[in-house]
Amino acid sequence: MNVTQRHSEPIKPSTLYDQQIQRRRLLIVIALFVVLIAGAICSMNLGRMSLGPLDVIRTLFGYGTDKNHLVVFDFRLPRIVLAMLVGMGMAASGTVLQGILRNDLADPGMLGISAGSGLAVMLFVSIFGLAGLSSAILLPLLAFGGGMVSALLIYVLSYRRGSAPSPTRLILTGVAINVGLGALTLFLTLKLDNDQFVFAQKWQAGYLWGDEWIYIAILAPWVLLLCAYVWYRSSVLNTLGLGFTVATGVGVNVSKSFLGLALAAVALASGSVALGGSIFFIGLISPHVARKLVGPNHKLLLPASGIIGGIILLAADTIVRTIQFGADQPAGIFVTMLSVPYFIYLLMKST
Amino acid sequence: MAILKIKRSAPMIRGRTFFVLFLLVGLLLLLLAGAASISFGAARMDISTAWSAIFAFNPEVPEHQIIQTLRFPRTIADIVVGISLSVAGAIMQGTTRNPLADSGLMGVNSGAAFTMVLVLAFMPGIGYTESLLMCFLGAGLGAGMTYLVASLNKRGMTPQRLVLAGMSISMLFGALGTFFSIQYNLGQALYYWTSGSVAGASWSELAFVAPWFVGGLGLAIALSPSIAILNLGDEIAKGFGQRTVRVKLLSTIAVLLLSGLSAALVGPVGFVGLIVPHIMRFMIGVDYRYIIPASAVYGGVFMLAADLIGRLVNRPNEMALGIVFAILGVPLFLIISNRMRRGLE
Repeated sequence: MNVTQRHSEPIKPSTLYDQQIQRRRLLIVIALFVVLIAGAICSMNLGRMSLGPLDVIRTLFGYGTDKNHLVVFDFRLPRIVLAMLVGMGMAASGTVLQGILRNDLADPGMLGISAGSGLAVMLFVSIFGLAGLSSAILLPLLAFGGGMVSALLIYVLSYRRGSAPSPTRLILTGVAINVGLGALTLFLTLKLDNDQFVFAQKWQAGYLWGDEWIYIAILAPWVLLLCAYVWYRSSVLNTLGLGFTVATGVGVNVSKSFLGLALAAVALASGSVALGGSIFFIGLISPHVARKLVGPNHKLLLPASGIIGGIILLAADTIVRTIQFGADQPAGIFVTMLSVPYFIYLLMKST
Repeated sequence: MAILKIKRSAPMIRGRTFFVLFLLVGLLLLLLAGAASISFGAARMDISTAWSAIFAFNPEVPEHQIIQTLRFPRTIADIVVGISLSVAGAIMQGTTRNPLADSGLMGVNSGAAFTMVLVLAFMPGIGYTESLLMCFLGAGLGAGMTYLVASLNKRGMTPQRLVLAGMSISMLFGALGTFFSIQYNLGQALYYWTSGSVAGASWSELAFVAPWFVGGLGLAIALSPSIAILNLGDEIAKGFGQRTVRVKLLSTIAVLLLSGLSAALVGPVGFVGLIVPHIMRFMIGVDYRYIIPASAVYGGVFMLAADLIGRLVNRPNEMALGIVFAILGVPLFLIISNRMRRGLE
């Protein structure tokens, strides 16, 4: 949990020993990917209607009964894909933000995305009511717009002509804007009726509600393309982590790279938040877990973190889908319950 | 979270005379705000009625009844909570050397909120004083767990670790609270409490928190010279011969007492503890011997003003404290952090 410590580790493999470590870390990333796919298949078996693994595989290849086909393709698969995409998007966004802000506690909520999108959703719910949700292409758009606008607002307020972007300035402005937007949200919340309030509350806790193929068709290219972009820029991320002065010294255009990466991170988080509710804890925790497993090099850290985010959200969502709680519980709650003990463990181990 | 430095070009250390004057002005403002808080509200009364209600109480006069049972305890509660939160925030900022620290980070608020969820879900008919007691217990539980997690590390507890632990415990309690609140469909009953209000304060509750308040505030004032030294850094404080572990432990206890009682009285109100010490540091410099008493006085003023605005803006309805704080505090916070940043660059 110490910024200086994590960046002091050498990033380029130079000796045979380092190469071995590098190879082991690559294997870890591949293993994580296998776990994700296996988890997805297991998750398809689980649910309120039991399906055997064979049934699922048969259905996936087009030989299942009509009922199994309906359950797998229309109910379970979209939700599973959504959980993986949202988890990946949040985790990648958190990794990038922790990298460019050089702060291990940064998460996408810090740049106002959660407060902004929360306010937008609250506005929508209080103006149109829950009836408007049936034709809900507007809601994800609003959540996305709210997140982007508040992030831009924070950026503009902390902008100084002629000086490099300062993480301290961004974080401080972010705190103030978050409080302000939070108060507006509170003001609207107190005026809602009970059903509206429950929807808003679930959304705030992280509720995977956009589980229809049409939403996924929009979200999937968005998340995957942006992830590819930040992965392509991972060597720049590594350099920015050494400090902006050093980065300038080795020839990185700090302002431009910072802006590009920050925009990508905000876009990733806003996209995920639009369909999955505010599950920002994934963006905080996944990079930490990934850093423990594969080290600080973003070339491996980014994929590892994204896959871990997918695994965590998939696990949480499978719990929510499988266990009957009486009320419809949001997955975000279980993300927190699953990951806080680990975070506490990290805290106890850290030096 | 970033650690800021105060402007280096002009070290903000003003003399004792300035501090005494500043404190006197604060006390005067506190008196004025208190008088305003008693006489303004849904029904307006002039100051002489308020005066006679306190010193020549006549149970036949309805105005006197309002003042004695509603306005006066509410004003006292405002002052108590404002002082507690600001002093707790000042101590946190001083000991962690992190200007974004706040007593809300100690798991106190989330613990209190969580027990409030349990109370609403499982014991809906419980009386006000009992639920106050439960909140206090919850605040203690949240803080105790935070402290436990932070001190389980082999290398002992650091203020930074305390903040991290507080954040994760808050997250956990928040998630559990949301779970129960959705499960039992508590909805807005909880939210009203969460948004913070001093409207329900009564004499019996004030009597209940009074000993904790006096103890916590006394401890804080007694500790303030040690905190001023600790703020220079652990190494320097040790060099001066300070027993840093003991100072940190005692200041944590003071923070717990003060923030726990205010969470119990008005709910999880944030931001006062963050903003008031900031303004004080901006006005009188970095000396915590001055910041802590000044935060106490101006915290009371700030809270009274916020409550008064909340009562007057939207008459006869009231505006939640959280909203008023944001309206007052966000621009102030932006201005101050902007000034401090300029010093940094």
